Amino acid sequence: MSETILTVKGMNKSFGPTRALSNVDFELKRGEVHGLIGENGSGKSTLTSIIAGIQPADSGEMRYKGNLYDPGSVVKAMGEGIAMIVQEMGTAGSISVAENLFMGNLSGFSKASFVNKKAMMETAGKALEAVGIRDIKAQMMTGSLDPESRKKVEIAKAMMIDPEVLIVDETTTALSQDGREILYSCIDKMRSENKAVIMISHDLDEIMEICSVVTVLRDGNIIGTLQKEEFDTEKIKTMMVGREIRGDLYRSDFDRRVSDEVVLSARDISGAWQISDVSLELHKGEILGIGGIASGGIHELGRLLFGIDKTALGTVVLGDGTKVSNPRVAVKHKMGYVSKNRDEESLMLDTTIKNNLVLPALSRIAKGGIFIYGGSEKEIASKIIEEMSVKCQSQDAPIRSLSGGNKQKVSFGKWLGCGTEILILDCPTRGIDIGVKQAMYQMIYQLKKEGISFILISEELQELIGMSDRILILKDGRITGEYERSPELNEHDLVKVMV
Amino acid sequence: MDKKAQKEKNRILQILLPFIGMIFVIALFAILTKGALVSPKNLQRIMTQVYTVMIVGLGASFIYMHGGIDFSLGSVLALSELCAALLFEATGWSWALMPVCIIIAVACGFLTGLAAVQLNVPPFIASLCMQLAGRGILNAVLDSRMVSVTSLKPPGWTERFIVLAVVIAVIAVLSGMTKIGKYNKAIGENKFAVYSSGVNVRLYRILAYIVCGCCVGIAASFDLRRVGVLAGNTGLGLEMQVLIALVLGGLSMTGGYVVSVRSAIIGSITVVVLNNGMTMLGVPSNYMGIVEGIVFLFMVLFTYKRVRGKNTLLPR
Repeated sequence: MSETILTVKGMNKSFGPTRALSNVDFELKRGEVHGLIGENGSGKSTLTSIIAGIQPADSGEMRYKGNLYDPGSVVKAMGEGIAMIVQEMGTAGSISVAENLFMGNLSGFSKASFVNKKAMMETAGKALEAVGIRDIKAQMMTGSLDPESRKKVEIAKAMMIDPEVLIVDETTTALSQDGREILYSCIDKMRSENKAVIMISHDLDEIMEICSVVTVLRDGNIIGTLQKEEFDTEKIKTMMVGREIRGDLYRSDFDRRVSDEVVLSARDISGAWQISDVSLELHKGEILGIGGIASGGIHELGRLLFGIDKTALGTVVLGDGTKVSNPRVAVKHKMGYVSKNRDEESLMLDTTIKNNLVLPALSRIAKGGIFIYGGSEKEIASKIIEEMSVKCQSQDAPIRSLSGGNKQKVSFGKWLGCGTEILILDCPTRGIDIGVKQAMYQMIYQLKKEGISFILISEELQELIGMSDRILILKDGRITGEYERSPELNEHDLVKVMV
Repeated sequence: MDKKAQKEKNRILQILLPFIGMIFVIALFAILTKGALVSPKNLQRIMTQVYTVMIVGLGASFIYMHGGIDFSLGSVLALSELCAALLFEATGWSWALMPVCIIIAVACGFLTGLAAVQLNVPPFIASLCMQLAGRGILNAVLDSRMVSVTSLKPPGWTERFIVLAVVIAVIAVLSGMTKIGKYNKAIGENKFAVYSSGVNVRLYRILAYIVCGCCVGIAASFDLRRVGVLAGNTGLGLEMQVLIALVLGGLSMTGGYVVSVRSAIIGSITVVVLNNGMTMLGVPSNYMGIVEGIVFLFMVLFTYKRVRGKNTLLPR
């Protein structure tokens, strides 16, 4: 019935040993709002970024309006009428909104390489208005805008070229209701003009509400495509995960009683970047969730609490009054930190699993403070491997031979070998598959019950709601909300104070 | 599976290659010089040269472990010899030679380490400064007077071998069984991971310079007793010889767990035989530099294992 606008055939893309897309076929029709859904690392963003010309595919062909299509660059893709609103911040801070809108495309306003600013401002103003943005002016400095407004600028930028295909990549997580409505009206407009939209989202409810077709990806493969009338939450979830999840993904209790004993507290701390005037208390055996968007300071807070970054004001103190001034003090007092940048900051990639696992424990097992026997290293490593059920050939196997999920287990597990009592987890389940996720959640819960305290930093609200005893939401480096564990708590409550 | 087997093969090759290289170089020059290379007299000459390079290399491997570099080794060797010789001239305390050499070399290593670690000067630059300063002091003193300890008896081979065996044993234990070795290797792999594991990264980096200083001091005292006279070129180019030895011994310039005692032992033999063999063949020393440079480049490329573009080749 409706005409096909874009087809992808046999597309492959690898990043080193990881296969991000394998032999993907995908079809987009006019008048469609096509949802792409899948776990982290399933290949959604890779597929769309190739379509939008951000990166090339390794192999495979694309046809756009019947012709072979190989964009090569974003500018060229936009010239063809394919625009993308990206997941990450896509605007530059130090220039005006108008300049951002026309970035890479100033030709309309320049004469002999001078830019006609007035004409540019006017056109930009109209472009903003066209998508219903009234609170942002074209002359404003982009850097002075909050993340949500910058996202809106991106929407205007994408819509300005009057695209035939609009790609929306996880945009709604950074938008409040007002911003979402602007986006939804753009999507509606596209549909009514018989153009096409590809929408990526983690939020299954949103996808089911907005989209007319959904394609599910898993581990770089297309699992299936469902039409609106076939939509079914359970079915889509099963397709995403590849099997039914047995038992609970998160913890199932809603017991929020925790010990009165405070093991770690921050008093009015400010950091060098976003964090300002944050105070918090972590109790023994508590899982304290920290949520917010990435640019809201959640990751910085984790680094400040562990002493990696120095506080500009205020102090972080342990239960016994010791100041946490650097990671050395922190680790000495049984704190641990799992970085969100696993490969860059947490693991030693060129060596064995054992060497990675025993690193924080070395000072504890050193005889006379100096000598380390190979036997005690082996013992610790095999104990952790068993406890975390790390899938590996042996503890002397290179860490590179492990899958992402198992690497993550090592990054987490190394803290179990040295009697850690307070663990700061920064996005501990980023980019790992659901099976490992479930295992990690159960592990965290188990350890919590044994009296270990957690700070769980995450951009995934479901995870925070599912695991935390208490959730703090950060926005622009300040705490904007605090929520107790409850079955009624949902993502929308949290998003309200996030953006 | 095929890939894994291939990788395993590569790993074994990487370990074996330095051995093969050493044997190849010895065999090649033995043949080219028609056996003159392995004549007793020449073997003694080779062993004398290997002695200094090996002991200094053993110490320097700690610096290379954490991804550092030291260009001051030769100057520090000469400077500590100078101080020990001056003290000997003044007092006649022959027992003080080794302690003084060690103290001076450790002090120099500590200073270089301090500049590199605490002041964040790239180790390349910090050690180059030490090299210039050390050489400057040496030449300033030698300009005004002769310095010699000729009244001393040169050390016998038994003594030298016992000391070498002790140094190898101590360094092997330090490298493989103590926090100093383990942490320095780990720092070479991923500094941030070690830092966030609660390790005093700065302290352990400086300790590496101190361990190296000890070895330089020991080597210096033997060199001084053997040669007896200090000259402007004492220890000149030692740092490059050690660096080439370590790389020929299979050390990765980026540091990490691949650095081992083996590298210094094998590499020092290879590099000295290479030098000695070419001299015997009558190759002018300028050409020897060219050959060394080329061999060095290939070995660095071979042992350099990181993803291209992600890390720089030389530590800075």
